[in-house]
Amino acid sequence: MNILGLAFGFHDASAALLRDGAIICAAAEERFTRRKHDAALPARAIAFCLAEGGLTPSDLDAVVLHEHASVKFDRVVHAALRQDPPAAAYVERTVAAWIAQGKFDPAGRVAAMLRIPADRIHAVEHHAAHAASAFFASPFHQATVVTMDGVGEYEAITVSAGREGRLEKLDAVEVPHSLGLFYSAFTAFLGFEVNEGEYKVMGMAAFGQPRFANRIRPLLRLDSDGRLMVDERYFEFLTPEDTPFTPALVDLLGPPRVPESDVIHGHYADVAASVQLVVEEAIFHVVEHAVRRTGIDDVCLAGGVALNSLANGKLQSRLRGRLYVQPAAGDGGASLGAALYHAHVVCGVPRLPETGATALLGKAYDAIDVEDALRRGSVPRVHRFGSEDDLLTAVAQHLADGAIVGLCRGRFEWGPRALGARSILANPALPDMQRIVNEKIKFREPFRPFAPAVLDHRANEYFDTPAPYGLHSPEYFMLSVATVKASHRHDIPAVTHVDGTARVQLVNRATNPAFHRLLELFEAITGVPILLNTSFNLRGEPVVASPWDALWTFGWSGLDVLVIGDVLVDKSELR
Amino acid sequence: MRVLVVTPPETAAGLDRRMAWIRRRFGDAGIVVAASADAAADAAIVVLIRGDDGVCAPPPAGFDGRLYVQEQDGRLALQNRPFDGDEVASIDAHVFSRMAPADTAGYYHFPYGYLARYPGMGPIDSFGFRASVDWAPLRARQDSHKLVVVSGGSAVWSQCCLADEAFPAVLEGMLNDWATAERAGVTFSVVNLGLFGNLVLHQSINYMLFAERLRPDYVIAHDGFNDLIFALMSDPWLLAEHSIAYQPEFEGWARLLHKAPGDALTHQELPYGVLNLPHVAVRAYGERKAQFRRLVEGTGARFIWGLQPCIFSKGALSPEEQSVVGERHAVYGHAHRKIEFVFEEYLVRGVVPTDVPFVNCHSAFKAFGADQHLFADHVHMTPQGDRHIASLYFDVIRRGAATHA
Repeated sequence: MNILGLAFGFHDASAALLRDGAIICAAAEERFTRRKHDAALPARAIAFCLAEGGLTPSDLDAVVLHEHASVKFDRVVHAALRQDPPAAAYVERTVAAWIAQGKFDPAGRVAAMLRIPADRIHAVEHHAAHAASAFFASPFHQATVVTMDGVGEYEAITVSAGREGRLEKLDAVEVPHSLGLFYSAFTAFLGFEVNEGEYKVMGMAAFGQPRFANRIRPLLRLDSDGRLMVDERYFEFLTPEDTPFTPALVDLLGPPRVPESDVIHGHYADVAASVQLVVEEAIFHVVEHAVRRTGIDDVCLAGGVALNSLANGKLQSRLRGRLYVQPAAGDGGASLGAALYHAHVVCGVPRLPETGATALLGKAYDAIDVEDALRRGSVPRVHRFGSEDDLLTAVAQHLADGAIVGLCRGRFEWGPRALGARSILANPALPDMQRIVNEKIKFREPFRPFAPAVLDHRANEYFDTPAPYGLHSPEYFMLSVATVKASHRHDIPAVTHVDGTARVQLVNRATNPAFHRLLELFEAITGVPILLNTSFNLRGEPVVASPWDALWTFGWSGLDVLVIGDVLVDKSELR
Repeated sequence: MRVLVVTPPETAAGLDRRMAWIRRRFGDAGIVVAASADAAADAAIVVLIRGDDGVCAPPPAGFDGRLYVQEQDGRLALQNRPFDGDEVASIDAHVFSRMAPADTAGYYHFPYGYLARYPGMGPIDSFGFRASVDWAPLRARQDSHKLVVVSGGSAVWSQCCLADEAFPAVLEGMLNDWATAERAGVTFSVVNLGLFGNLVLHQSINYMLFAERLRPDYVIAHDGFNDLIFALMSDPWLLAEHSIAYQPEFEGWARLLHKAPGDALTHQELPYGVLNLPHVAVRAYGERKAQFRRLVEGTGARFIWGLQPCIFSKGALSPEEQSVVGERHAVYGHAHRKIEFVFEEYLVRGVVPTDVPFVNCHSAFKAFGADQHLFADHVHMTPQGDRHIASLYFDVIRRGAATHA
């Protein structure tokens, strides 16, 4: 049974293909179109999935959309008309935008594009897609499944019990009481772009003290039943015209931070630390109540809030059970969830134990693509090697010598994290490396931290990470923050954040063999089994997909070395 | 001839400088300054000075003399008639100048490259060069009369400076002052061979067409911005295989020449995408410049390899410069966001030969801070900026062009 899941229409469009319950591939549209957060009908991601599966559209048994568009529109209208006075102009603009963007009939658009009968196209509730993306990709036979994002149709939080091929929704919290929108409102307040700058708030939080927590905490009331309520006097989530916060928040915390301003310490960092603390408390509150309600200790998380790796790391230490977080926990992952939901819940396809053990689900490019890119980029000299080990040895030596390397090999990653397939790598032992990579490679704020990728069996020497329960552990997907052991902080300064933490990625020989080997070779030279690992992209651009994307980003950044496929390019020879 | 100069309703900065230019342009004798154009009846020329707020006094009703608006940079922009010999010397000298549009400033066709016409900032000739005198006699000059040719684009022409403020003119003054003070027994002439939008390929052609026969002693190639930014937007195959960069908007000449509907493309037709990697742009620029150098040195002149400054070259921007930073993104927006990176790539890729005097104005301008207003826009200088550039080249020529700047 071939099932194509699709998510599109708001941000982060994507497609995912299942065959008999196995994930064949999954990819975000932005990787192909090079438009960050591309929301369009993911034609190129669909084409990739069909090609990867060796299918034509007529081979698809079902195409499943990640939300019910009509219900979502119902929410928009109802929310606007409940305003006093009713926000008629907002509705008018929304209707015009929906018509212009074809949002009223996404199923019809898909049917027309794929030329398949309309009755093969289905839809699931948005949060059901999120929940399915987490539970059915997890290794758990049963789990407490919690979804938290901005908003789906109406829901912003759901709690479900997952048991084998079933998902039973037990509770839901509807917008405006949304943790995702709450965090995003502060993202905007702190001068960052919503749906893009949430990671920056997390990074900024480490520079501050949560001295405003007592002011912010009352804005998010935690109820005894595990629910929460946002104080609407401070936020405008239902019909936002300009900012998602009201003047009341400015009265409470002072003027918002001016975007691109250099201020990251002091007041605004304290606000970031405070909102991070308050949101962590809310996450713990929701999840712990959910666990009590289901009686199941293992937890699955999805929805954009589940990408808060700082909270995930702390949550792990509070849970009795195990935690699984879907690598593409945001809306981009809902296509996979839609397909998984249809396969297991609707069609009863049996679950497969290996599902979700890797995030390398994207497209791989072949040697012809590499040669085309080199020719197109007029690259005068490249290095080729007799074996992969020779190539990785050369890369390890460059890294040890202080070079910053762009790596583009194999299938690209599913989700926002680069896990060694589309990564920028550097020597974490060099104190200045964080600043150099931020300023000269990624052209972004100097305070942004970088993650360490570490041989999984060596992680405990450097980090206070919980022992991974298996290849689904959040640390394999860079989804959890841990403390760097004090004794080793000076050894890896470039990946130790100002508060002594790091968003660790464990690297396993079986699931990521080439990257694992590179780490071994790097350790053999330097004694450090760790590399600085960040996504291979420039500020504001999607992570690279193809060899040409990689060469382009290499050329337009301060990267020293590029590896595309089995070819190495040295910037100093690029003339 | 009576010239009525009408001051603006509000303030106008640099009025002394602007009035000086008006006096040079029209002669001192008949100038009358007034606050309105009411007294224009018996004037042959009326000049309306534009104020700091962009407003000038209303033009006189029924006036049929020559009406100019003086822009804030000093330019005397003719308003009410086509250009003639008063604006462009020898405007009828050749067919391409004669046939060129005479009612707007801009580019016009020429079989080898193109020409540009920007009257109002000082004398220009029928090719658009800033030439106040006939260059031909320079051919027969004495050995003690040294000739410097400055080649480049609009930054050499210096479109925001008046004729005697442009750095080639300032350089000429510096060299002659020095020669006099040192009793060096030489005099200098500096020819401004800059033309709007020129790339090094255009400079090579213009050198062959106009300068080689003058037997210059020094040739300064002051460029960088046009070659690098236009390379980013040029056809990838032409650039990579043949080092051919060009001004993308001039593709519109094909339409113009063949009388297709529509005018030539303009800066407003945005955006141009970035099509090429920086190393390819840098390589093409370096190759063409080296070729230009060989051409120049083959004619016996000393070649000075310059790199022009851009607004991002400065250590810190003045308030006036800050105000124009945003404007640069309006033109060639994508490429503008990349060009600073390409300049740095140019410097680290080893393109500049070590056996040629290299005047790196880009790096030299890092020393200037917010207290100096040197850029009138993203790439064109204020008079103060051009004085700094002139000083950098002056130092090299004075030292016999023997060492690197």
